Amino acid sequence: MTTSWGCCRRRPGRPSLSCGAGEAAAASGQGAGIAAADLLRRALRPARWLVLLLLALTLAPTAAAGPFRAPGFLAAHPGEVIAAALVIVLQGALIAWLLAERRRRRLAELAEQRQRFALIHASRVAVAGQLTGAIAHEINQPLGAILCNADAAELILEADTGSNPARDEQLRAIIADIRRDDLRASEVIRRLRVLLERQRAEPSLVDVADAAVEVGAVLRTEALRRRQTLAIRPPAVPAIVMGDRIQLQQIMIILAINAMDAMADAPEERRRVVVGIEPRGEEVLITVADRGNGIAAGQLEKVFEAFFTTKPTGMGLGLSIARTLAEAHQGRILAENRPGGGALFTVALPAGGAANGDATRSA
Amino acid sequence: MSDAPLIHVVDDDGSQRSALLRLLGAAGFEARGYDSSGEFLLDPLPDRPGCLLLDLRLPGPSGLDLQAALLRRGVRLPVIFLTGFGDVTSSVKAMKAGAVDFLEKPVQREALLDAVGRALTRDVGERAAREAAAGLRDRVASLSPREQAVFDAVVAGKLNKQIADCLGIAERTVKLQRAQMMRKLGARSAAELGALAERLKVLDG
Repeated sequence: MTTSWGCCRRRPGRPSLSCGAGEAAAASGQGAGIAAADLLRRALRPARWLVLLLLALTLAPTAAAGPFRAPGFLAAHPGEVIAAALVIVLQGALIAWLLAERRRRRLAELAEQRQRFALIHASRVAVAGQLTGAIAHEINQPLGAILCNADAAELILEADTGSNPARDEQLRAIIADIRRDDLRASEVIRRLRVLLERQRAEPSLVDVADAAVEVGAVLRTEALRRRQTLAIRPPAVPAIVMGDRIQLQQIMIILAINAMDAMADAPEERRRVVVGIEPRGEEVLITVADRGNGIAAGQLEKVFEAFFTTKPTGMGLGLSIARTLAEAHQGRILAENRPGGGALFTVALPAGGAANGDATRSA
Repeated sequence: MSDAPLIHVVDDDGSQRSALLRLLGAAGFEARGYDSSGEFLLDPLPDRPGCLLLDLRLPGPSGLDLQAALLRRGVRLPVIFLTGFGDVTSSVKAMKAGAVDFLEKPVQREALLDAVGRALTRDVGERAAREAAAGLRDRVASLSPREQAVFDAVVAGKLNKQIADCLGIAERTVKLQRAQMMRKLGARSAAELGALAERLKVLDG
């Protein structure tokens, strides 16, 4: 036996793994040996085909070398060996294909995420573009005041070169005003930069009321420019949701500008946008109401579709992005007509950090 | 009535307004600030030369609205517009309605003081012309109907005899009334009377 089984020399731990049971029993002549072999065989059954293949590969050269040797495993069981090889090759291919597929899907998901992010950002840039007039005005205003103050200071100094307390007091007031207006201008730029920053969404606890007040500051001049009124109605208590502050503000800005657009031709006394924030039960509601022409009955759902627009210069992306953003926050958005004319958009977001609003009020 | 000019500044932006008032003060002008069109209209306008520095965009009635309202009321205060949004339509509207200038913020000191100077010169000139016109009207109004008729006829180039025939009175009476009329109007010759009539025609539009 030792001479004919090369594998036994090499792998003494598996003497009877693959030989026929009768042959093994006859060779060893020991009952305990048979039982042990049986046990091993059972334990290793799942790997049997693999082992068979390995054996075949090992034995093949040995069988060919000696003319008087017993036929090699490969020669004895060619069918099984080929089948085993085939199965292994197929399984390998399958696994490789699945891995490739998984990788492809992940890449596609990443690409889609990137695209959505780029679109959201593009919409933000577009909003900023719409607001350029207002932003320029907001920066020009303090700059104008600074220039006037500096000119006034120069004239005061030219007129009166000696030192006198009244003049010094006046100059000090001028410098204080210049400093204040300078900070005011840089605050406008900071707000704009925050709005435009290309950054990943960072979920945190956000006070929607607080975010809405900031939106009011961003849009105040634009509303003035369009001769419209923009009212922000924050609730008395913080309205906390889990989400990205800038994206939530983007939703509000999109809806508010949409409302202003809707009232461009309305009589001046009706041009009033009201943004309301209201914690209600497990939800925080953001409502944006206008007194424009409202939405045609058949289009209440359609307005959220991409590329649907009723404006001559609209792209039809604003509301679809608002919906994407709302859904990314596990929220809903819906449009309805108001009694008395105009449209009402409601965004319902799941309230986050409930009952500990004060502790989590975000800056 | 004081002759020192008074400059009115209407701007809703507090710091811009106070900076403008400060600058005008430092340049030697008396200036008053208002934060809306309404506030300016509520304040009684003193009878002295001046001009109005007016922000284009204001909450409530805009600068253009205020300019139109002043025109309707016959207030001839020269207007200088200040604006943060340089928009062509508004500037055209403002200039058509008689604005002295349309300045963009931030405004340079020279440009501002130059515009204010022009506006004040214009206002002083217009006030003088208005006073003269008012005086002339008063003088014409003081003529009796007969003197008025003689005045019209003389201006039309008629001779005393023709006037007498026309009005059915004696030539002597015409001469007398003509002298009285010329004294009342402060004219020394028929040519002066003609120029005076021309000015009246212009004033009556």
